[in-house]
Amino acid sequence: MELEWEGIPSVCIVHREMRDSAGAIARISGHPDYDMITVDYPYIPTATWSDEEIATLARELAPQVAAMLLGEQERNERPGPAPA
Amino acid sequence: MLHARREEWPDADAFLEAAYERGWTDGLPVVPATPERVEAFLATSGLAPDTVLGVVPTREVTVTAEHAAINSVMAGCRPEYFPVVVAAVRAHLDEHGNCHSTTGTLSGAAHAVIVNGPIRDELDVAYGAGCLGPGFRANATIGRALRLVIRNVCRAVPGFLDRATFSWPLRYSFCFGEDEAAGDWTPLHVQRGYAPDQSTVTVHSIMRMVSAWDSSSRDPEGVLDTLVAETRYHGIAGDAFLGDGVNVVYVMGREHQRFFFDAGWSKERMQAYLWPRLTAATAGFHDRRVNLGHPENILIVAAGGAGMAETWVLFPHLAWAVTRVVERPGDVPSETAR
Amino acid sequence: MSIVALDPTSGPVEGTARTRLAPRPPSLSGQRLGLVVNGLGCSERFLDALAAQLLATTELDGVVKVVKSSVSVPPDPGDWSRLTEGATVAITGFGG
Repeated sequence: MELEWEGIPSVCIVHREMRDSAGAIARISGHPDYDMITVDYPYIPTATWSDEEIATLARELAPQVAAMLLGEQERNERPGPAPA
Repeated sequence: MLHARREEWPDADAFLEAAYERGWTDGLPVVPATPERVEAFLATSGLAPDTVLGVVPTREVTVTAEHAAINSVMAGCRPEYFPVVVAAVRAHLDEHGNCHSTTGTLSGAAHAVIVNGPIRDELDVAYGAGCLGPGFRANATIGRALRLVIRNVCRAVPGFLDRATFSWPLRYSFCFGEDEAAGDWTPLHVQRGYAPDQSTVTVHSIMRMVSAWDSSSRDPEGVLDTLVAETRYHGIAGDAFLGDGVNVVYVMGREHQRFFFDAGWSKERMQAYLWPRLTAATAGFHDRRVNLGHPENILIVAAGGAGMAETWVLFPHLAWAVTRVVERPGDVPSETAR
Repeated sequence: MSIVALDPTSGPVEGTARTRLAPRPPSLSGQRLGLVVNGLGCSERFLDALAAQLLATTELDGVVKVVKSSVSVPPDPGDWSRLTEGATVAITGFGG
């Protein structure tokens, strides 16, 4: 939020299990509809991911990130992709 | 003048059901915080209702004395416990008490409230047999009051800002005193710079709590070597925010204490023995460095009854152990107070 | 007998936004991407890979990465200045 308030368009990427607490901070900060990208299972939170998993996730999320930085996507929850 | 919103219910049952529906409780019944009770609690501290006890910037939260008094009433405290709760809330909300991280964490850290000084006996804070468990009103309700403040005021509600994977029974309440008369050790609060006749609260955020059971050792070195092994089995990682201020707490029971008293070991000598052994480089998966900046970061507390030869190890979670003095109107400031 | 009791909470959760969200740029061409790494789990490796992917597929002009010194605090003041002065768009987060 502080980056947005500094005038820097930002995208927040969170795991599904952190989504509620990240959303809570957004509500407290006065932006209850703030959009985020949610990474879902089988990516396990706070676990060690393989290089292949990381490369796949980065490749699949990049278009979403670019679109959200440009404000092209509607503000709603969308799960991240599953690994190949 | 009190600021909190007031509401009227037809009877105690209706209030209690409403408290559950609104998420104002930890799952156990709560006492209605009537304005009269809250005023009586505030009077024991001499604090105005809007006195700020601390803030949680990330959550846009400011905790006042009135908030703490309301939640202390609800927790079942007696009015005279309230200055202890105030000190505990202030300690927890210290920057290095790290409220946001320690109450939102996946790991479900709990908060130990350790009471020192004359107020322990005035309030019957238990420090002998069974003191870490149920059965003692002061222990149960002071610890619970801190947790209700964390829940109701600081917004650490499960599924909202509290993201604990399992959470922990210690999150209902965890408060006990030090058995300062067990031997000739320097009490915890005196080691931390307070006068013996002052009363203090030390709040330690704990990630895990492990029993170091050793009924074989018959000398100080043997007991301390067991503590080193139990602590290094888990290790304590470094953190740039916490720097060299991280603590580990050893709550030592009588069957271990006696070896140190008999051999004339002070807490300072124990700290000097433990520190280089705890901080030695990691040697394997279950022999990890304990990242403590100084020997005095090792906090040794005498407590418990006779029987089991054990010491509890309280590992930190992303916070320092923070000590605050218990302040009451009319208390004469000690000349040796820091 | 009726009971009057006080609300134990700190009030409504919904806060008041200090300002509006930042306006979005018309394209990523020439923009500099800020990365805020919290250090948990795979966050740094993942954000590095994501930044590389974005650099390869858009006309971003570079990356400003800051790694928080602790999960408990915002970036250090120096890193925060580097970020806010050097980046024009940013990616944050990841508790994993």
